[in-house]
Amino acid sequence: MSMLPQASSETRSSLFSRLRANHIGAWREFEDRYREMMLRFCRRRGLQHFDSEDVVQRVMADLLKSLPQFVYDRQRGRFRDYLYRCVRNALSNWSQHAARRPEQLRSGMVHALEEDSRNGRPGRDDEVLWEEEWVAHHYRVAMDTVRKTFEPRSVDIFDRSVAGATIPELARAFTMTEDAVRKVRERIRYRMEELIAEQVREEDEFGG
Amino acid sequence: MGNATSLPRAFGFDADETQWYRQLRQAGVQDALGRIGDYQLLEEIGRGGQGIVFKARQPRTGRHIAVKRLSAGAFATPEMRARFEREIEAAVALDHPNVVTVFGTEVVDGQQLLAMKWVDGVPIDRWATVTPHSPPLEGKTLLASPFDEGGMKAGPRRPIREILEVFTVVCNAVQHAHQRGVIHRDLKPSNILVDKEKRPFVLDFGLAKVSRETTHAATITMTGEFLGTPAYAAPEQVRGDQRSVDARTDVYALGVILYRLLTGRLPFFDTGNLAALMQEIMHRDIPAPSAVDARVNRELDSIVMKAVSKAKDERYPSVEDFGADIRRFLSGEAVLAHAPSRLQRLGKRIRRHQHLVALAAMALLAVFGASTIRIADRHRRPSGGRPVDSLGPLEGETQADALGRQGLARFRAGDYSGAEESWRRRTLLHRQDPRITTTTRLFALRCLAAAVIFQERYEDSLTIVEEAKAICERVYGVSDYRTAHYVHWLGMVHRLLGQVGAAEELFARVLPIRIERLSQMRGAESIDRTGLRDALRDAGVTLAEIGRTAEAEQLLREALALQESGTSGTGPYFGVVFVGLGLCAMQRLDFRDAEKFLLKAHDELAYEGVAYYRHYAASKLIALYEAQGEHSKAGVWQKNLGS
Repeated sequence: MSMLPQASSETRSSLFSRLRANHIGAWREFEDRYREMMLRFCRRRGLQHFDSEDVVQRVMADLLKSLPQFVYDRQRGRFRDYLYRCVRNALSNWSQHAARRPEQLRSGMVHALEEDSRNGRPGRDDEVLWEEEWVAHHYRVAMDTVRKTFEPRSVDIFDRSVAGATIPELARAFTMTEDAVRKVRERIRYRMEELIAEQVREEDEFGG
Repeated sequence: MGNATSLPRAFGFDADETQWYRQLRQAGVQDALGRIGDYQLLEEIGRGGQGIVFKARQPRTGRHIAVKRLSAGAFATPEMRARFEREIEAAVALDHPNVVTVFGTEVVDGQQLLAMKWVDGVPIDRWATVTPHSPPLEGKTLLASPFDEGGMKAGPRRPIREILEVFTVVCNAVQHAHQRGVIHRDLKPSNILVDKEKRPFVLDFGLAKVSRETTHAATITMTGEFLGTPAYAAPEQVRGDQRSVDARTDVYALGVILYRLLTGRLPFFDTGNLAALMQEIMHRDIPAPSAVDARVNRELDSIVMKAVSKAKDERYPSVEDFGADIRRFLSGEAVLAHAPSRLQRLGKRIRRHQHLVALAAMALLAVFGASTIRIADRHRRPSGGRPVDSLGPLEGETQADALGRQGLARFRAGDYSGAEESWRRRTLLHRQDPRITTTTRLFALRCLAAAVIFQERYEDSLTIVEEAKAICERVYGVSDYRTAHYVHWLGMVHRLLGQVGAAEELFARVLPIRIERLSQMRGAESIDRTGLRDALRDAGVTLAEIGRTAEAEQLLREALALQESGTSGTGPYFGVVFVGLGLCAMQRLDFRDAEKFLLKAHDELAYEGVAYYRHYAASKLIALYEAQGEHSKAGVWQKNLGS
């Protein structure tokens, strides 16, 4: 049913095992993979693009120091929760810096973050946002794998489906039966779900 | 956070098709980059340790420019910014047709920006891979991804003359900056763009320094480590000795770039492990470009090798001199650079790279350690007070045994060519005697190969190790763990020769055999403690070779625990494992642990039979201290080296 599932699985395993070994290539890959998720979270928290970049850069610098210890400390829980705490800390630091800068407009965002740090606990909304971005992140990674491993025509059908094309439209465009289009879409969806399950499992193993 | 959520629900696996695809659409939606100040950001072009570059449009003029947003960003203090502006003034003042014009810097919405001329070009390494008959370059990048630094796309390279002609223009541009007191400090292919008219442009002058100084030190160091590669950094930069950075630092980087343009590869074995790469840059002898690409002749070899000398004083004193020598080469005149004589090369290697010699010794010992030491020691203590170097057979000793004893004495005295002679004669005798067992035959070959390796005749040693491997293949089989020892060893010799691909291929071949052996040892009904210990050590060593540090470390620790729980604690065995653990710690960038293990290794290896292994631990410690800028400690160890 699925196509080339092994290759993607090996790639992910090797990322986390190489990360454990503090491998430069793995850090780059890690950054490539998780940067967007963190950036999107920061943007949704109200930061501008560049401010989000700052925060993510700080998170990456912190992770580089702390991650080797993290992998050996099973008490720290799931990786995504750990990453969330790192982002929250960096956001908090950013808000303190931003608040001290005279030229920086003290946006509502800064005040909100200051409020958060005074309360000592992030708001429930943050957790929801993070969870949403985490889900979106795994969908992106899985989509990326699908695009690399399925036949070009299947990928084309998939991309157009994501863009909103209907089954009859796709059948006409690709001169296929609607049933054949449906099967391609089902196959890819099935594979996506498999991939996401693998990704989450590996991420959780990495963490706790 | 942290509550278990069912996967299908969290990910909407049960959603209907429309809803499911909407979810995917939302996951892929890119945020618009928006504007910053006057600039409309069009696309992100590249990112590196210094910052992020965007292609941008200036609505008032309609022109495209490159906007670099510096890493210091919002975390920079006003004092840092002021210093940045002072430093960048010199770079802004550069006016050369092959230096990318910097329009200036400004702070917009709290962001430190650098506005530069937009260059429609490709990084010089990518340019060099394209043949003259290829379609016109459709470069759209101002900066290549900084992650491209390690790997150059395979493909035909441009003719050497064409590469050199463009390269001399690069030298002119860099020299222009040097004359105005601006050292680049971060020259690499992605900082040199070549446009469709074959015009090179150098960018980012002065940024490496200001970026380092204006950014929180820890942040830039750490981000720099994973964002970029120091493959083009000179040894003095890798050591952290910023005070000694001068024009010759740029000469070195240009030399590495030229090496890459000519051969298609870096002169180092870049596994992606930062600590290992730093070691390579500081200590490893660079193979001549002609060894990689036969199109490069000896004169060009000597030019490149002079530029990439580890000692600054041995490089060209200026980029101008470097460029002038290349022009001499192009016009058929005699070049000023001369390849060092074999003797000079040997002398330099011995001075600078003792650890490489010791690395070969480590290969021998890590693989064959205990048995070699035991046998060697037995030979070292002849009964009857006869001189160890005497050739006359002792009582009950064959002529071959006497040659073995003589070779060992010579080896111990540092007379490696003498040892080779004795051991070669012994091997010849073995070949003529069918009664000699495989083990004895292999031992003799290992000794002979060691003597040759210690003379740095790595190519010659290959034949000997190959012979041993062939014996093993015949007697034990191709996939036997004993055969794997020699395959691993061949891998190490290839690495010493700078033949990275061949080395990696060999290690990759060895690993499954060693893992399988380990699995057999673990699964055995009755525990063979020594076998398991050796299997753990062997698998650990190979894993360390291919950069799988955490796994290597786990096995080495297990080996250590097994050894400690045994009845006989042998110093050399502990020493070997500690060296392995020290290397792993270095790869993890845990310098404190690395120091601890290497010091322990040094103590455990006090046994005179493993003096050269001890030497290896010491040389690693020196490298470690140098990498951390602890030059006085390094100096003390340097004095004690070999004691």
